[in-house]
Amino acid sequence: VTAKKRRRRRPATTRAETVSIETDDATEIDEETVEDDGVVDHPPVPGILSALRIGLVAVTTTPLLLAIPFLFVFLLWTILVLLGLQVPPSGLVDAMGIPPISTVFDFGVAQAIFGYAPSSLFLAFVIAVARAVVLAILAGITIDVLEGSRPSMYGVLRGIRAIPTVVAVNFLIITATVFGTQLFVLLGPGLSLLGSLAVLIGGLYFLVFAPASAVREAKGIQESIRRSGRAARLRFPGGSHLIMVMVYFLVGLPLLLFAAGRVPGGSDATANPSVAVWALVLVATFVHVVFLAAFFARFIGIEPEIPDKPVRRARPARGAQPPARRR
Amino acid sequence: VFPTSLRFRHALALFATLPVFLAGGVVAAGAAEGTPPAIVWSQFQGGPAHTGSVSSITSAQPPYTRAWTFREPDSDQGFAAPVIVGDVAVALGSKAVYGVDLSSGQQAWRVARTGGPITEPAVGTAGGTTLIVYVDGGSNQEPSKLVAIDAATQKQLWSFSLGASSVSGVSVDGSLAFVGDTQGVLYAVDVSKGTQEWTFKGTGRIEAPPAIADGLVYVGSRELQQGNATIRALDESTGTQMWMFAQQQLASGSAITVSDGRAIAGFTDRLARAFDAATGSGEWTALMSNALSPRSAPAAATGAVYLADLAGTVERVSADSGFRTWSYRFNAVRSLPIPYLDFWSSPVLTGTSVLIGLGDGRLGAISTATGHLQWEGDTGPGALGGIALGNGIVIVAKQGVNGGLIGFRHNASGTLLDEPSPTELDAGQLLGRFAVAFVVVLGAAALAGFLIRPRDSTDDEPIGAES
Repeated sequence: VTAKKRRRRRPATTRAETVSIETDDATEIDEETVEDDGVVDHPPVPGILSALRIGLVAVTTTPLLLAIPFLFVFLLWTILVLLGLQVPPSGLVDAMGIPPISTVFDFGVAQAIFGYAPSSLFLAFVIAVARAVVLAILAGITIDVLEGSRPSMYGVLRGIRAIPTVVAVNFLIITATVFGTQLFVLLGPGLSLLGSLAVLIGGLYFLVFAPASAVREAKGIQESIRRSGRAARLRFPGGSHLIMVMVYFLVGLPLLLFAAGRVPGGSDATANPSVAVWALVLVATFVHVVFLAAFFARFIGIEPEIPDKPVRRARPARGAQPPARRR
Repeated sequence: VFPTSLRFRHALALFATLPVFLAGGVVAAGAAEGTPPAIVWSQFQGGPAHTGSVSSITSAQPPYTRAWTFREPDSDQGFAAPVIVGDVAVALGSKAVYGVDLSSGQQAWRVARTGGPITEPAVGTAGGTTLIVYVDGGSNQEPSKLVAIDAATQKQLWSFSLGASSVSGVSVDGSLAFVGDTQGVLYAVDVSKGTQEWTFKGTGRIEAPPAIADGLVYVGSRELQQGNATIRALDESTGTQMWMFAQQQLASGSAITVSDGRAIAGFTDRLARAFDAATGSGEWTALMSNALSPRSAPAAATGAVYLADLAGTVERVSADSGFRTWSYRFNAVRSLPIPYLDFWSSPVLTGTSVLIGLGDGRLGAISTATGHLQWEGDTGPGALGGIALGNGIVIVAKQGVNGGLIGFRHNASGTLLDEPSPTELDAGQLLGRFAVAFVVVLGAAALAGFLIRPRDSTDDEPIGAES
C-alpha cells in the first residue's frame, strides 16, 4: 500500500488503531500505532541521507509546512524593523533555524536594537518564545505528515500541546548561552570561541528531539527533554546523530550566512530587502524545515529503543577485557 | 597777501601729495612683510571645541560639483583633516606639509617633514603672527616633535620634542597648543615660544586631538592591553585633573566634542555618552548602530548632536536628552583589519546640511531637518577623511593611493535629492518584494515535491505508521 493510497484511504480524523495509555496521574503518556494483531510496528531508523530525503519529500509535498515559517519570518522582520532594527537582512537566513541555531539570530538582532542591555536579553527571549510557538505547531504538522497523514487539526493540536516543551528548550539554550558566554570569557578568546561552539552543538545534539518527543509522546516538559537526550545517545544506524547535528550546524550557520552575504544587497542594512535576498532567506528557511523533518524522522524510527530510564553504563571490572568494538 | 608765484605753487602741490605717497609706502611695506593670513578653519572640526561648524564663514551648500583635485605628490597615503588659513588649505602628508591654493587647487607651498604618523595640524596666532603647528617624526615609535611654522612665510619658528610618538593631532586654544603621545602624556605648549607650560601623565594612548572649552581641556585615551577607555577633563592653565570617566571593556572612545556645556564622545560599545562638561556627571547615552572611531568626533549645533559610526550611519540626537531624531545609513563599512582606524571622517555642519565622508570614497550631504539624503558624490576608491569648510568651498581629505585634497563648490545647476534612509520601512516595497520571493520559492518547492515524491509502492512507507 503506497503512502499516497494510504493518505487517501485514511484521513487524519480516522487514524488507524491508536492506543492511548493513561498513567496513574491521568497524563496521556504514549501513543503507538499497532497492527491489528497487537504487534507494534516501527520502521527502520533512516540513515542521514534517507532522513533528509524523507524530510524533503514531506516538506515539498506539504505547502503548509513552508507557508507557516515563511510568513513567520516576514512578520518577525517587519516587527523588528519597527522596533528600530538596522542590520543587513542576511541574518534572517537563521531566523527559523532549529534552536540553538536560531538563538544566534535572536541575540544578534536583540543586541542590534538595544545594545548590551538587559532589555536585549528580554527581547531575545520574546523572539524565542514566538518562534517556539511556530516550531511546535510546525512539529505537530510535520509529524502528521511523516506518519502518513495529511496536515490536520489533530496535528496542530498536538503541536500546541508541545509548546511548553519547545519554550523550555529555548529557555535552556538561552540560559546556557548566556552563562556559557560569561564563563568562557575567563578562558581567553580561543577557548571562549570553542566553548561557545560546544554549547551550540551540545544544545542541538541533546535537545533537537524534544519537540518530536513532546508531540508524539506527550510526556511533559522534563520527560520530553530527557527522552530527547537519551535518544541522542543511542546508536543510530546509517550515520551517527552527532554527524547529522554537525552537518546541520555547518549548513545552518557558516554556509547559509556566507551565502547570504554574497547575495547582492545581502550585506547592506536595509528595512526593505530585495527580492533576491528574500528568496535566499526563504530557501534557507526551507532548508531548516527539511532538517527539522529529517531529525523527526530519525526520532520516530529510534523511538522504540529509547529507554524509559537513564542507562548507566557499568564500569568494567578491574582486569576485565574491554568489549570488542562493534563493526 | 597770499604768495602766488609758480615756484611756490609747485612746492605747495608737492607738499599736499606727500601724505598720499607716505601712506602708499606704508601699505606697500606692509604687504611686503606679510599681513597675517586670516584663520578660517583653525583645526580638527573647525575649532578647539570640535563642533564641526564655524559661524564666521559662508560655507558652500549642496548640491556640489568638484572644483579641483590636488593629488599628494610624495606618497600614497593621503592626508589628515586639513585646516584653512587665508586662501590656502593646509594638510599634513607623510613626507611634507602642503599649502594648496583654494581657488585653483595648485600647490602654493611645501614644507618637508621627516615622516611619522599623519595627523591633524592646527593654526594659532602669537604676536601678530599666524602659526601652523603640527607633529613631525615619530616613525617606529621614536619620539615626535611639535613644530610651528609661520603661515605666511613657512619658516620654522620653533620645535618642541615630545617624550614619545604622537598620533593625536594638535589642538590650539589661545596661546596654548595641546598634543598627546602614545604614552598617555598630554603636553601644553606656549605657541609663541614653543616652551612647555605643563604636562599631564595619564594612561594608555591619546589618539585624537584634545577638545578645549571654557577653561578645560578634554582628552580621551585608551589602554590597549586592559581595553579601558578614559576621558579626562584638565584645567587649561595648570593641567590639574578636574574629573575623569573610565570604563573597562569599552576599548576606545571617539574624539571629544564640547557644546552647550556638555562633553560628548562615542565608544566601542556603540553608546555615545554626554557628560556635564564642568563636573563629568553623565547626562545621557545614545545607542548607535555600530562603534564610533577614535579618529572621529561628533558635530554639535544648538539643540542637536550629529554622530557618525563605523557602519556609515549618521544620526541626529537631541543635545538635551540623546533621543534619536533621525538616522541615515550609508552602508559603507570599511573592511578589516582595523576598520575604526580607517574611518577618519567626522560630520561637519554647513547651513542646513550635515556632511560626511565615507570609507568607500563617497561624500554625502544630509538634511539636518529631515535626515534625508540631499546630495551624494563619489570620489573613487579611497576613504574620505576629515572635512574643512572655507568661504564658498568644502575641502575633503582623501586617503590611500589616490590620496590628496578635493575641493567642492556649490553647483547652481545641480538638483537636490530627498531620499530617506534605506533603513526606513517602506511597507509597499517590503510586502511586494516578499510576495514575489514567496511565490517563487513556494512554487519551486511545490514543483520539486511533485517531481520527487515517491510513486512506487514498495519503498515509501510512512514513518511511524502501520503497514
